[in-house]
Amino acid sequence: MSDLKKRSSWNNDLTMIIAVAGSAIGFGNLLRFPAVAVQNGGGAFMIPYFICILLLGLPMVWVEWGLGRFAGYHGHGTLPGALQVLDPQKKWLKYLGMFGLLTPFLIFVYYCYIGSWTLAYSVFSFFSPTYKEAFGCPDAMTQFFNDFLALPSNGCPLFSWAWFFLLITFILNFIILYFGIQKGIERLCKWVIPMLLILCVIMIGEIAYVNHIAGKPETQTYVNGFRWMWEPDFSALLRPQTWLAAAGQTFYTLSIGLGIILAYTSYLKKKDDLTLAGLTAASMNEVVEVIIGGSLLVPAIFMFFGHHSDVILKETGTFGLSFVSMPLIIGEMPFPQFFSLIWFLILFTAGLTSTISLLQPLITFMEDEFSWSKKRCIWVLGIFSFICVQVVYLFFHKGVVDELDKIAGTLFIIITALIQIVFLLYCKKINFIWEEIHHGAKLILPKIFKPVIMLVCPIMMSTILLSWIYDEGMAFLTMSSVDPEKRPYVLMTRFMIIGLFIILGITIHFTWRNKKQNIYHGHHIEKE
Amino acid sequence: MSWSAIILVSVSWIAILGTTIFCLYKILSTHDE
Repeated sequence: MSDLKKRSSWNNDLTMIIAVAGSAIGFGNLLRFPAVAVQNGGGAFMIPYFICILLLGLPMVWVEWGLGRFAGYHGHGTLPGALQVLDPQKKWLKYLGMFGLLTPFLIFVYYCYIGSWTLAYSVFSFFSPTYKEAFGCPDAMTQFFNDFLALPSNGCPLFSWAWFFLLITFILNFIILYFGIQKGIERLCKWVIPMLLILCVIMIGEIAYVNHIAGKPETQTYVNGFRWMWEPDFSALLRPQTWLAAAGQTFYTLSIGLGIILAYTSYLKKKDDLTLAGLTAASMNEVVEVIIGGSLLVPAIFMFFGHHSDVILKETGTFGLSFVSMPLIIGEMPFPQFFSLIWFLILFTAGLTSTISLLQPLITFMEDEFSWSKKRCIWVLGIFSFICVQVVYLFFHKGVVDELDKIAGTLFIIITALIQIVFLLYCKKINFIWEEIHHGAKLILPKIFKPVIMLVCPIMMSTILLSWIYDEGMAFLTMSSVDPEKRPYVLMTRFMIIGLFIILGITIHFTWRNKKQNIYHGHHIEKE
Repeated sequence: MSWSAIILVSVSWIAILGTTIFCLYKILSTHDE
């Protein structure tokens, strides 16, 4: 271990917990959870959701925290190194770790673009007359959103507001990363909690104000909105899709299988508490999701849109909710420009903490495995990801984002999490990780979680993966569900992903070979 | 609003807020040790 360079560490437990919670808190908590819950039994969805959090989410969070810290002792903060230290004899294990690097990177390239829209809308709140005029009209707001995303019909496609704000957001991500985990992420994440409290106040104010809008149907009250969100439909519990949706939301919300937790926790010390920290980060996430998203935001939407909320939540999806419905609701409030600015700045901050975290695994990989300086890692990753982000911007309307979300955001996160748990079992390291999780722990986990990690987690994840393959596998391979016009672009995206796998595989191969040669030469020189 | 909805929401809120407050209390109370 003497050849390992000293790794930096977190200032204290709380800032690291806030950083992990900040990475997990994003658009998905505020907007995705209510949509999934309403579509899957309303209040009844909480039953499978809590079961999945308890039997899949929390155990996997603890496993990732334990594995991350263990790999950190050996100078690795990403999945290739973490898998290799589980069993150094099995040389092929490190190649499976590519999923833990590519998944966050692929999500970053489209999440960064979506995040840039929130920055643009923050600025439009005060400086765009067209946006201000669209406040009262749903069609005008939808048109404004579509016009914003449209590529300029003549001239260079890069001369658009969408591209300009993408550039600003992109640069901002790398500037914050430049300051490192000690300064950049910690400082930014310290803003997350105050921002969320402001969001709560806005939501409550919004509910109180919308309640008094003249001409609003009497049925559109907060209580009815609350009922609409939470009234249970227990028949949904008999549908397998409800359970799969609950498991999917658990993955999404707790940032499992993204490699982010591994990268962050690899900077922890042996005395740091993993069990309590993991539980805290997860529960802070649930506060945002269930209490702010499900109990304040959704009833507010219902109070404004009434039973049309059903269509808004189910059909327009997260984008429609954020960039069309919410501005319309805000438009009805006093000082709409101010509240629009606050709403989009909160979304921007939540998105920024997530995008920064998504870049962290590759930065950590380059720092650990190539022994590069942070500055060099950021420049190399910056140039490379800038090219990838342009692809997303130019071909957004051609299905590239949908495809990346389907592959990285749905399939790869399950595969990455499954790889971790399966190879912990394969390398017979479950007992070891269980002990690692408890080093320095203030909270001792009930022993029942050990068989849950060994049996329930892999079975649940395999079921999710197999059901995805059964439901969508054939349509995915044949692209039958893709618009024929978009197929070449979808195919291009898939080749891009395969290309990235090949580049990463070759990089991992030569990196480990060079390390081995360096160790050999080191011993040789010592002998001489 | 039905009783089942009230029970589900109450249990969810108590579980989430209870866990968060417990965790933050435990972290902050042992922070200087």
